[in-house]
Amino acid sequence: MSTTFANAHRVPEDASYTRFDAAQLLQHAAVFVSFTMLVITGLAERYYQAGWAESVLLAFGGFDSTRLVHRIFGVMFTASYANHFVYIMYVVFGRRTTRPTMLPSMKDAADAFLYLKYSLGMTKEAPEADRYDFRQKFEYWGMVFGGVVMIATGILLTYPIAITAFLPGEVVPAAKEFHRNEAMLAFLTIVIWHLYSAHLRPGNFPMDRTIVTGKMSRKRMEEEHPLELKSADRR
Amino acid sequence: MLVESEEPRGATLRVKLFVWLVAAAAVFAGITGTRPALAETPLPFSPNSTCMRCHSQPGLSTKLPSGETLPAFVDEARYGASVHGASFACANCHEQVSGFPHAELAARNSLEYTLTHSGTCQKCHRNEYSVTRDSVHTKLLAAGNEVTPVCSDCHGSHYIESKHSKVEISKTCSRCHRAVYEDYVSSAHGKALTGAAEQDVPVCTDCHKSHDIGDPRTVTFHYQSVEICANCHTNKDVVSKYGLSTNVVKTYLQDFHGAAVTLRSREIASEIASPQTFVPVCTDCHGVHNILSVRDPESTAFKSNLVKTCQKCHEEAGANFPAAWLSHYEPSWAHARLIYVIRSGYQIMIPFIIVGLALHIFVDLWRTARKR
Repeated sequence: MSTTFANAHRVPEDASYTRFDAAQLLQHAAVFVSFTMLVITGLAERYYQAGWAESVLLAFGGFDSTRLVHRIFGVMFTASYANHFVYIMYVVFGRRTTRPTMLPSMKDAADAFLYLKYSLGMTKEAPEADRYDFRQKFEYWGMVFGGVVMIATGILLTYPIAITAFLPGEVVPAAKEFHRNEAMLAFLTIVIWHLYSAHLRPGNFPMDRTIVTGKMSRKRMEEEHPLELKSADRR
Repeated sequence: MLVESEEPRGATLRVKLFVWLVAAAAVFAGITGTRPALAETPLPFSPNSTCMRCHSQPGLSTKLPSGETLPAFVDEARYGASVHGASFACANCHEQVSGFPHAELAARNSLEYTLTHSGTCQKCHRNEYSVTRDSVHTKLLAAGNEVTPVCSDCHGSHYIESKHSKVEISKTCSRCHRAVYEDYVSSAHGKALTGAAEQDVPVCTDCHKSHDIGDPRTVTFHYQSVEICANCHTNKDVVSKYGLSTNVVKTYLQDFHGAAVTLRSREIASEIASPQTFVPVCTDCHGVHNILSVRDPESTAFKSNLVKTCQKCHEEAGANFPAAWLSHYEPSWAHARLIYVIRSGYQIMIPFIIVGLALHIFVDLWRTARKR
């Protein structure tokens, strides 16, 4: 999130702006890989009676191997979360090189309302977003809380015997119920919402490369994150 | 052949028509259940009365080389009342007997005598005979185990009745499978085998089949046993009379054990899993022949016995562990309320969020289109 830009005012309009650094791109890649693999193996386990699920399970070498693969990527997903937490603590509260830009604020609530007015054609201009707009923050926090639910219930389901040594037995089916429903919610949100808003929407179609290269054009920055660009240029 | 005149072609057609008619007649005969008229086939030498001149003497018997006595008395009245009595001559089955004095018996003992006659039944009961060849009994026999049963061991020889009561079936098997029978008679199934319930209660043959009895020790049988139980336990007409749920199989398949069984059998079919890895079926928790009602305090599936049952596989399981299984209940307000509340919560939340996101996409697209 360190986006100091020397002599930014001299940069031409089509020049690229470094939006994400290598550490951030890696974090996304790790979550992308683990999430995708968890969805594939997890859905196959849940809908094991469907033909496609059977093919997936057999392709992974049977359901025991599929469960193992699911758990390996579960560990990777958990590690990504832990790493992200440490990273945030370090860059925001330790080195203080960046602002806590993901924290929701009153502006986000106001922006959501303004955006609705804009969408319905009641205003001409969309609200100006900072580094992350209200939708991105909503998705981020949904992902954080959903991920925590998935990790916690996933650990519970991996060690049911150890857990029931000190917790009532019903926490196991409860964890399972949370795990499968939260997973479905996350899967649908990613497929329907994230893919649309990050990649498929007009302007980004077919794919927004920012998450691979870390770069975004100044033109797009002006449209999508004008406040961030201004504060970067000021520095 | 192709360039020959019309005449032979007409003849071919006539032959075809004839063949077709014969085939149709044969099919019709099959449908109407007409059997080949055995009584009309010429008998080797005599009608039954000739045989009965000697064989109606009570106590008539012969000595086998082993020293065993082979009884030779036939109760003519009982034979007459049997399924075969009305239309079968002695010689239809005893074909090797061709006059008096009879030729020396080839069998050295009574087992051999039974075995040498065991092919007789297939002359008429071809289907039953051929499926029996796939049974565990025939396989054991082929492997040299002579005490395995052949047709007459279960059905009898001279006094075969057309219908058995279910109680008789289990008693027939008990002649060899004594220990299993004793477990069975004191089980939930065995105890219910009286009066009106008789038709609903499984006896040996309902689970093991009668002729093509599979080896119950195989992995295939282990996995297929779920279907055997499901046959009755998902049938409302059968089990709801006794206050039993028809959801037991559904809830089993929804949970991990049931999923594992389904998948494991497919993996074995695709040869990617070792059949030795164990996954539990109905009988692993409920018992097999000694199965008891889950309301019976002696049942392995009775609440206070569950920990021990779980520990058969989950050795480290503690007292709380059995509650991790919802006891075949579908979550509802009455049972497994916590799960029901979580499920219902998501059933409201997921559509709410997804519809919201979809609307957002719609509005976003609409705004973009208008801006351009």
